[in-house]
Amino acid sequence: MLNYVLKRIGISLLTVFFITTLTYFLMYSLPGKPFLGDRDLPASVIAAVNSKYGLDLPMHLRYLKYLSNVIKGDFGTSTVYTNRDITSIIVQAFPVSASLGLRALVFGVIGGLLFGIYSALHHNKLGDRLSTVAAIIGVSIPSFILGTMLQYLLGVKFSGWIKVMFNTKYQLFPLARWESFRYTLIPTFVLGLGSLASVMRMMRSSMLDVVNQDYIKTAKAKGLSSNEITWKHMLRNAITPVYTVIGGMVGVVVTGSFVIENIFSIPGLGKYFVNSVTSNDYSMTIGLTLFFSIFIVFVNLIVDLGYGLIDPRVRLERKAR
Amino acid sequence: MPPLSEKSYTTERRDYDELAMLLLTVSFRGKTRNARAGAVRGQKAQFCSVAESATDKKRYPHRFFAQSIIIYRHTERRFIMKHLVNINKPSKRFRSILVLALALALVSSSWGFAQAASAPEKVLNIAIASEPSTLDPNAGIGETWMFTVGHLYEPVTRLDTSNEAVPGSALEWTVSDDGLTYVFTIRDDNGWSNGAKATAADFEYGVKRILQHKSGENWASLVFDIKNAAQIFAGALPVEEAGIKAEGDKLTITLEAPEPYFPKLLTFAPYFGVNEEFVEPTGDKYGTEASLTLSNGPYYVESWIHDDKLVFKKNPYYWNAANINIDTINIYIIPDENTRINLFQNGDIDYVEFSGAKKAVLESSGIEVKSYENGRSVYLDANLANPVSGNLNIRKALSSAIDRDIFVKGVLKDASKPAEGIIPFGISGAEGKSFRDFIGDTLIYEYDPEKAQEYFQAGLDELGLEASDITLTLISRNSEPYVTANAALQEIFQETFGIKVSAEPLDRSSYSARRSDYSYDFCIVSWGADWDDATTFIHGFYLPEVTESGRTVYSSETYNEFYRTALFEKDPALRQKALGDAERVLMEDLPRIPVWSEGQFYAVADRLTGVHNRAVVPYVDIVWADIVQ
Repeated sequence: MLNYVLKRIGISLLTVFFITTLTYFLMYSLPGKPFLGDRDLPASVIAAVNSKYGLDLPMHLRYLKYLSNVIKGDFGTSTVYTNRDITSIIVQAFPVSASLGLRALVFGVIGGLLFGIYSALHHNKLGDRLSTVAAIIGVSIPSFILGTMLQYLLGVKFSGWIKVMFNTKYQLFPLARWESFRYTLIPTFVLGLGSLASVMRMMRSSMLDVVNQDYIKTAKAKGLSSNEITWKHMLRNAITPVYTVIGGMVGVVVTGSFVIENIFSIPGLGKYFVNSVTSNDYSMTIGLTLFFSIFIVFVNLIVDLGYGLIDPRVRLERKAR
Repeated sequence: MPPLSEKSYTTERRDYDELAMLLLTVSFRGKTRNARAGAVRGQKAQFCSVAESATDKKRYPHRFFAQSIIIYRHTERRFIMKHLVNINKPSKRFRSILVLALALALVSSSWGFAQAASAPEKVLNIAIASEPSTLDPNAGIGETWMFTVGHLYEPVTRLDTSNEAVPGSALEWTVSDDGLTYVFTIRDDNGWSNGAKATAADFEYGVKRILQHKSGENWASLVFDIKNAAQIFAGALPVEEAGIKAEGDKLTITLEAPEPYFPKLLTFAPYFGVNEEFVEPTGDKYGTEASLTLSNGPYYVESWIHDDKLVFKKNPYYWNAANINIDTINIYIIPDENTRINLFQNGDIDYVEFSGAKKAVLESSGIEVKSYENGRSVYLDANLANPVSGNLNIRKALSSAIDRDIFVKGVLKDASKPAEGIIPFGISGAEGKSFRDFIGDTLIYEYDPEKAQEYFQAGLDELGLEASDITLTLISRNSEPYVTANAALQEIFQETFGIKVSAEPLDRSSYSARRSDYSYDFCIVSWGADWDDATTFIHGFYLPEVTESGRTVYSSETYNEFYRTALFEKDPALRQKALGDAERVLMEDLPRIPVWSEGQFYAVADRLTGVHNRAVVPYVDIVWADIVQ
């Protein structure tokens, strides 16, 4: 086990190194420079700005300097958010992205599992048909449409209705921002709906496979109650492929969604990441890529280790014979 | 439980009736008439007991709930029944709404109490589109940075509501006869938000930070107007040689060349003062957090949750604090335009700006839409090094091909106006008029399709080309309205002249790369004013420096002559006239083809007054604003 983990950590570090290097050179091969716009800057000003951000060094020296700084935990400073460390931006914004992502994940996974199980148990009945259609809609509706729509219907129309009805300014579904639990409701729903739908579809088909297995017939023949069969025999066997899907989702959902953060003005990391690319904020893009890749690689590692818990048949390393 | 007075019963009756009816309709759908009647009694009893126990225990605010129950009691049974008969099909879902409604009623009443108890503080809520890049006035980029620092610091001079430079940190100033030396007397009654005294030395230190590469390197060229500043910045002279000196309450600034608009230039953030004692220990982190920022202006920043919210509070040490009406400004960072509009419609923010596309939506919901000239001039910048765009007749032809009225009304559909020259509307002129009103329309090559063809033919002859040989590259930013404008101009030029136009909307990084490489024929540029004077748009044409890239730059002796006159002219009206003449030279030579002068739609909540919009930063000035209930 320890061997396996160490080997995986080694491979992960290599992966992270490779991603960072690639991003580094890709970013610097983008056209344009920070600070250059329509304004014609005198040469002395351009030189001063370049030397401040180390852009006057040759590429290979710059890269080595960057690597040594990263090892010391310094991801550099942003050129757009003047003088702010990338590290401090991550420390402030990541918890928000992670909180939204985890909420969405919990909502998506629990909802997806429940609907999936329900659908499989009521195979080809009305409930199954409806939830399958709903899942297809859930997977295919873009989050910016759903987000904008719910923001308008619940945030504006519903709140307006409440206002007239009860003469109060209380909003159950605030339009935007990230303050207390009720602020999280719509964004969580919108972000989690996609996950919910894919988990549901996965769970449904996986359950359907299991339903017709011999061991389920055996269990029935033994006279187990249908609850026991569902939870102990079907679920345990059906959940492994779903677990794979969920593992992949964690990295994507938790690292922040540009669209949802933008619509609901949530101070997460997704916006910083996307905006940094077009504004030539090199250290921001590279720093966040590095952070995200470390995060995702290690989430994957943990997910892989989790297989052993979910399914005892999975062995992480070959037994010495 | 005391009964309701007759008066409050009448005034609030409608709300309670609505609630009562909601409760009834929800509870009784699908029951027989007798069952409904029974349920009415049952429910009533239940509500009353809940309400009364709530009163007795005084555990939660019950006013709203209890009162609605009284109304419920008062309501005639016949009245109830009359409405109930009309209710049709059953629906279980409505029960959950009932539960929700009751919960809401309870929560909302408690919320209402909390509000009523707070002090009569004046709180303004506004939204900005992006996080200010920093709160350091000497560094930073972007409009939201200019807006925030514009309210946190007190410049030497401040623009008043008629855009005149009036005393800010300075009490008064004098200017030498040669127009090169300004002596400002700095007031001694202004303070930093930590209680420290604001002095003339703050301003010297602010500019010297830039010159010594401590901050704001990107703005350095704007302070190069100060004597020796450029050499100091390049390291050729020691910082002591800078033409800015503070002695006691006197701030002396010596310029390289006379600049009659200099007092207005001081309203631009890189010229703001900062407190040396506070700034030095923070190193280069000054202005990156609320705790690392100090203000000498109307407001100070109390908290800053990055990318989410800034809270500005009235600065008690500000010299004019008695005339600052608003106690707290909550500045929310809301990147999405739709979200900002929704927030405004909900009453969550008091001021909103929006594009032309949203105007109809807001007007349809009864909101008064206003507009102001935001001092941005949009023009086609010609690359004079390329043969086709470098040909004067071709440029005249392109200028004459654009029907600017139709362009603004039919393509842009926003608050913009057709250009009347390179200087936009809203920039100050003389005799109390704006520059455009004072000088009039200087555009020479107005829309004239026949002339356009003549110029075009003349240009072709000079170049020895056929129309079909010509491909013009027209670049712009990939944001609105520039994308639409780019496509429209492509269409106009192709249709009119039978040439090929390659329209290329570019993202920020590609755009800046193409601009600095000069790889385009024409570029749609939207240029905003750095200071409130016509020179901010045309100073670059005066004695242009030859850049390293060696590109062909526009240079005209006639232009230089008029501009020089404007530099040394003391009479404001004659000076503006000279600038108008200089602009006419540009309109004849067309290094830039003006298309439109930008305008901005906005809406203000009824309770907010005194917001001043202008064509230079801060575009939205809330220093003099007030909240009326």
